[in-house]
Amino acid sequence: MTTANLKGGFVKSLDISRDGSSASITILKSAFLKKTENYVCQMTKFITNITPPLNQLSEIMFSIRPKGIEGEDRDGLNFPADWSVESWTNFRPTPHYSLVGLAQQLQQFFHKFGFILRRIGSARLGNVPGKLIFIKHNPVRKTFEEGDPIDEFGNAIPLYDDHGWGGMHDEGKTIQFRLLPDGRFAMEFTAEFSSNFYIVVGEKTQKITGFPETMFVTQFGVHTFTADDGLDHLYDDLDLFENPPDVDVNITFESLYSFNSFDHRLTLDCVATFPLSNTISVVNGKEEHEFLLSRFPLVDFKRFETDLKMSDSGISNEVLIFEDVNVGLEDLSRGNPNIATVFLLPGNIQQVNLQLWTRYYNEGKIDRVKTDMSRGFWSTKLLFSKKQT
Amino acid sequence: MLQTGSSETSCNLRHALLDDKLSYMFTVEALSVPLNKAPINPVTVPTELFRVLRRNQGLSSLIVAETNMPPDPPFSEFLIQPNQFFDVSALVRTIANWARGFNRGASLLGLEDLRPFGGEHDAISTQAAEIAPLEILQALTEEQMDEVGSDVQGGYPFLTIELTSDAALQIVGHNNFWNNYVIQFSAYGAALLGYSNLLENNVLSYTGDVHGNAVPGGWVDNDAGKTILVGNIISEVRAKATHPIYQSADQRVKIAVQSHLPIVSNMSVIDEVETVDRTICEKYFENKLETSILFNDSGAYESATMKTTLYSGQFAFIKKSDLHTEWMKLMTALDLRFFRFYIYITYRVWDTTKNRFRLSEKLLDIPETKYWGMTLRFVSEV
Repeated sequence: MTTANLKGGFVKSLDISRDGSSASITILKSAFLKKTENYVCQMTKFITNITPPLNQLSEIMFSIRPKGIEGEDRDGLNFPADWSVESWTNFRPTPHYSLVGLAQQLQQFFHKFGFILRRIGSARLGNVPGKLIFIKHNPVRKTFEEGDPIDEFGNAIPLYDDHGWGGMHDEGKTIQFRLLPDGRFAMEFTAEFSSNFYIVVGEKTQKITGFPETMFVTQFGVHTFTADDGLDHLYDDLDLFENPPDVDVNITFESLYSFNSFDHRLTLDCVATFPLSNTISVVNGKEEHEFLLSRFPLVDFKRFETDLKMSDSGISNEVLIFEDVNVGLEDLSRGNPNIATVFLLPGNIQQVNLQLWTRYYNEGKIDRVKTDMSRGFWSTKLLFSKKQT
Repeated sequence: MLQTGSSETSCNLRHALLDDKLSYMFTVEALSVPLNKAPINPVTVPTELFRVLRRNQGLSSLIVAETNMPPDPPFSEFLIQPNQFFDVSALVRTIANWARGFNRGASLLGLEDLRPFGGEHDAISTQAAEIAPLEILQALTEEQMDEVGSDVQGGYPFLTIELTSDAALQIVGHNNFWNNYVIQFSAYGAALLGYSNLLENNVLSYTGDVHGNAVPGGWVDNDAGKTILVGNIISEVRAKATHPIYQSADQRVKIAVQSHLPIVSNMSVIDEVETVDRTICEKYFENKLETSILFNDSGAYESATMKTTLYSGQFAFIKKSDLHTEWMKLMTALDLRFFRFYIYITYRVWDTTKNRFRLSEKLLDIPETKYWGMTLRFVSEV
């Protein structure tokens, strides 16, 4: 800690700002600081407008597959050619910067799938009409029929049908994604969905969510089966479908782990070429020495909160999730000048090279990538104070 | 110190302020600044961010007359005006309103003859140009679009503007839009809104592949005339910006006060260039987005909301109640009577020559009727 008005506590500051790059490389005209061993360096401020994406996932997280009738070969059963738009049945996330952003993408994917299904009808795998526009209201002009209204000149008065999801009785939601109040999430399979489809979960997504590889619902007599009862209730060893496909119950699958688990970010690191004393970190018992100017644990900036609503009629089932998203300019030091303090080793400071790295935790190992600052800005203030003995 | 109408303030005290036998540190313990002339985008003239062009199939994209929209009324262009927006949400709302205006304007025009739009330009008749998924749309009247409860209230839904929960702009285009129109961005507009990586020669377009997938680009051929190609889009396309709009649309970076006080020269490295720094305090336009998502009683997604800090009007960047941690060392307190301070604002301005943002500092414009105020605290060393 530095005391501002301590006698002899000589203080010098260095401000570094950079736009469009994660590295700032400068050789100063003369030495900024000599005999650096007499100083400590504090990062009093670190401002950036960039938040790294939550993870590096690029797999198909959820793939919706058609369910066949008993004895039908699973491998031979595909969506008809008109369903060839991959994004209608396979969910691959686009880069997301917040958990609610990912939640919204999932919600939209399942809603759109339900909308397409509703437009086809629930008959197993019928043909898709030529155009499927997933918007709330989509007026499509009706073909003129005998008895339709005409104007004074005998011309047909245009009539429209709403082909958007807003006009459907359940808004086309045959499978529903939602966040639960405890931070986990759920997928509600309607009977209509379960009768026609099942879901294959991506390998990494299985580990993150705790969902099984295949999510399905089948029924035999009075018994209802899901993946917990064994995959052989869906298809046998020869990949032939078991059990009648039709199901008459809605089933909700809840994730085992919190939705928060999709956030793999660990830290934002600032590395400098100053004569810094090293920082020791230990990962799974293995020692590592790094020359870090500062390390900001990104978990510190997360806020994922929930709300419980009560009224005269009892506790509401409404779920309201709050999250802070660091997308504007933000000071990662949060006004604490002591967030990063490093002793300097003997030397001079004339070369000022700083580089930003983001660390992700990926399946038991730590990945280090250069922070993408191609569209970003960052600025830091370094305070060099004389050591007091 | 309080100053109206000027970014510079100075005074000459009758007596020296400090004891010249002591050493001092000082800090700015209060700073209040009028942001009436500090909009999020520092443009000085009306500046176009994007415009809609006709996807005039079979003709050259290089000839302006073959792609431009009717000039009157100018509903196809989106421009920002000087001193127009003080928050990103206001910009997003205005883009959403522009989209509503576009829907009305394009619906008044209709798509009764597809030949100057997405249909083959040399088709022998209007019917011959209507090859699926293209669709003739009858021109609507103002009365039809104004009729409450009408299916075509507000016009055909060509375009809708959305914001994702992580604040990325999303342009939702009906297939009738992408098959007949494209959006041309200025380089500045694309960088500001987050579309730079999605464009093909500054144009946002989508084309359907053989499987029906909407692929970005593909609106012009690679021939000499850059002939416009058919759209073949069969569903709506959501053009999602590659980064949150809050990262780029608010170009304000910081407010800084500089002085002539005898302080240790500090150093500043801006975009790898060394300069001497005379700043005694700086405050950034920090903004944290609070987003919330609501699932109703039945578990269905209902809405998402966003909350940010609004930097507008008289704004207290440093409050007296704050914990002050930034102290400057005064080199000498000898006969310190004359004080002069300047207030600056730093923007990320668009460099048209390099097609990238760069940092630019300028004196903050203080309106005649507004003031900026600052309090300095000096403490002696112990």
